Amino acid sequence: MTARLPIRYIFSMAWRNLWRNIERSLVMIGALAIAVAAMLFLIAMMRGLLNDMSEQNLRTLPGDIQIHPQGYLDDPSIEFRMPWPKSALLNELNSSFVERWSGRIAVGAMIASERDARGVNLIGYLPSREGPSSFNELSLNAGQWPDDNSQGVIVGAALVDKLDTGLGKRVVLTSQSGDGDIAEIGARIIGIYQTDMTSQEEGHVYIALPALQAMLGTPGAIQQIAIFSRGDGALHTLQAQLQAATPHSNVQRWDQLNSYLSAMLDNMDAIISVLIIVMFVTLAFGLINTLIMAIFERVNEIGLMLALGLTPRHIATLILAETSVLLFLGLALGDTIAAVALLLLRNGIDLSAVADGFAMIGAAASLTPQFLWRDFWLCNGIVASLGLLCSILPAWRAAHYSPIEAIYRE
Amino acid sequence: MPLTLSLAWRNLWRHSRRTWLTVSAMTLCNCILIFMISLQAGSYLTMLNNSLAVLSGHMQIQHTDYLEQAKPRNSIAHGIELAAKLRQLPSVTHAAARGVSFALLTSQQRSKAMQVIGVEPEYESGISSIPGTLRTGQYLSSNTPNGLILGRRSAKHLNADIGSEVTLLGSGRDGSFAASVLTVVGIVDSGMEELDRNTVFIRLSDFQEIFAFEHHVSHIAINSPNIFDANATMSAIAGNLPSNNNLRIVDWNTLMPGLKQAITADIASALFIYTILIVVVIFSVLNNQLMAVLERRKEYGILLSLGIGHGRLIALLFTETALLSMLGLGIGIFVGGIINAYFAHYGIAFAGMEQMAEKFNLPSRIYPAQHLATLLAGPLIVFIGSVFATVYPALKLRTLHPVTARAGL
Repeated sequence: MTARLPIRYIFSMAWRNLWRNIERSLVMIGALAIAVAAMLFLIAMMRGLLNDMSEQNLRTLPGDIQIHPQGYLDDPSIEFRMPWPKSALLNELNSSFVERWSGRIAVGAMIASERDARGVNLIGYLPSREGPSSFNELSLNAGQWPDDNSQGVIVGAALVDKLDTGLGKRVVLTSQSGDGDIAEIGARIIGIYQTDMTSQEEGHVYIALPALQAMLGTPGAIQQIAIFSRGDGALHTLQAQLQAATPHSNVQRWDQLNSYLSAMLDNMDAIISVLIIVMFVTLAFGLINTLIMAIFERVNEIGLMLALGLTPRHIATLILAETSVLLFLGLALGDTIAAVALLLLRNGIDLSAVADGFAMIGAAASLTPQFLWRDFWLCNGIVASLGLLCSILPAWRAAHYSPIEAIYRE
Repeated sequence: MPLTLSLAWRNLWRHSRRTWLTVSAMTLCNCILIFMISLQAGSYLTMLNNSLAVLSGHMQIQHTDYLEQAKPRNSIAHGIELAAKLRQLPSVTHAAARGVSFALLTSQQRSKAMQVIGVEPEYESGISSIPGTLRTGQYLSSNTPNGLILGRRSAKHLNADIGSEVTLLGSGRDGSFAASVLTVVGIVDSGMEELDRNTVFIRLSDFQEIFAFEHHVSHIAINSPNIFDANATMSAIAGNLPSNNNLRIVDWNTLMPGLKQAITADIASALFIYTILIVVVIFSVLNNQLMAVLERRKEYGILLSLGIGHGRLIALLFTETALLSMLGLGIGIFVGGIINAYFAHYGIAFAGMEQMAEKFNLPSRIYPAQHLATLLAGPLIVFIGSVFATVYPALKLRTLHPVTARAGL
């Protein structure tokens, strides 16, 4: 009674069984496909949004890893400053993991034209070390970028409007100097930049680092070292090495610098898993229903197969094989639909209708879905394994019919 | 009809497991819909009310150009008197005039450029939640001449505490030099980092003197009894504004365009998930009814031979679906309603939600709404969708021939 039945026979029987009731199988495959496609699509959109938020978050002061003096992040004042890196830290910064790095100062300041005044974040950077490549999200629409010896400032287009000023006009910058007094300089607007977030244009003013150091009376001092790594893989290692080289500074990865963003990044996988499981459980009732019905209407046939010498194990394998084929087809179709949708949208979706809403969470008005193979495997894996789990009970039941009873069941 | 009804009911229980599985799918989907929709409704209203309560109010009266160019010169003449007049209107619950400017604030060791808002201390708390977040000291009043309210972070930055003197330097409305020495009387903690870091408050009367505003104010913030009455209040105010004064009323949506859009974007993405959930459940019902039709061909053949028309059979099938969906609807609303009521009472807190809450002015615990609309909307759509899903199986019934059907062909 233990004749070996090659697995391919089981699969070809499973395949044919599936098409004995085309409609029922198609409905189930359709439901699976729609659910899987929707999940993959939604996940890619969520990832895209998060990705976008990360980029937006760092565009004013980019850097994969940033080093700040202790206390600065809590209270961004010139009181917290550090010298240009040397010895151990400099060695690490010049290591092969680092593509480029530079020092910066970012302080609160007041900018005043003859018409109006505004509080801004005044950012001093070294154009020779990080030109427009760091701030590539800012496009200059008038004037030019500074060089290391420039005395002028680069101002956002929206701020120029608010201050009622223009290219080549003078503004007065006021901030707190290194020794606690008030530092004030007059500067000419040498460039006007544009970006797709007005709040950024209004809030950030750029200047060459030496000019800012001179203004604040803190020659040689910086408040931030921005490090651009060669590829994301080794960020954690690089962070640890840098921290070891400068134990009294804050060394943070880009994703740690914004608490909202890092909370979102941390929770993302959990949110995605919950979403997939909720969707699947709804799907599962339909799946179990289909499987149970498939067995129920074939009781006589199963009885006959048992009488002909197929073992309960064969029957169970057959049911599992039918489920696998069903799941495979549903997943393949769903994956294809998602792939087509994502390919069509690979250049981003224009969301300018809700631009201000997205600005609130720090994202731009164009959303580019981000597809990760990890999400693909997670989604397909959860659906496939839970789907097979659903078929265990029906398979077990089918395998344990008594042949005589099953053959004669009405 | 009662015959169809009892036939349909009995048919459902010929396959009780199948019926229960489909009903469970519907119940689950309905519970999720009820909970999510109520949660959204609850958080949107809270988010809206809390965001507007920070500073903006339900609407503001501004100079026609103020929204585009928030300059001192685009101001409202005799603003305090106007605010007092508007306060008399029955549809205005609160009105407070404010002056807004930027200045450099300097303490003994530190200085920082900040937004300075001049407020009417006795009316400000009707509009803004900030006075209520006072941590130490006292809020502005007639007893605090040249008093200054700092945020928790700006106080830390300036190294200032209650009683500290802070120098203010800026430019006046007429372009003159504005300078004053203020005394810190209170420190607020709004929970919003940006605001705490960058905005300070003084009395409107001090503001007008320091910044040479004379009788002018920058805007008047106004609240209606609740946010849904805002339009009525706006038209009531419109009739009471002095003519030819370059003034206009700006509603909350124009003041904070991001708010409505963030809600719209969130609704859109949620609708996508709901649609998929509902479609999956409808597929489940479709499959259920399809199986019911296919396995009963012989029976239908007999019924047809007995002279029962196709119409009756189709009516029977739809009645079965309606009963099935009604079960899903009833149990779903019952279970979903209980779950919802529990959380509406105790609230929900998510891990890592504090940052999110701060961003959208939400408390760290959210309470789902409890309305008939949020309770019924999702389940009703599932119900209607399920009945529609029966159209396809019903079409199969229409072409059934008594003889072939009886033979099971």
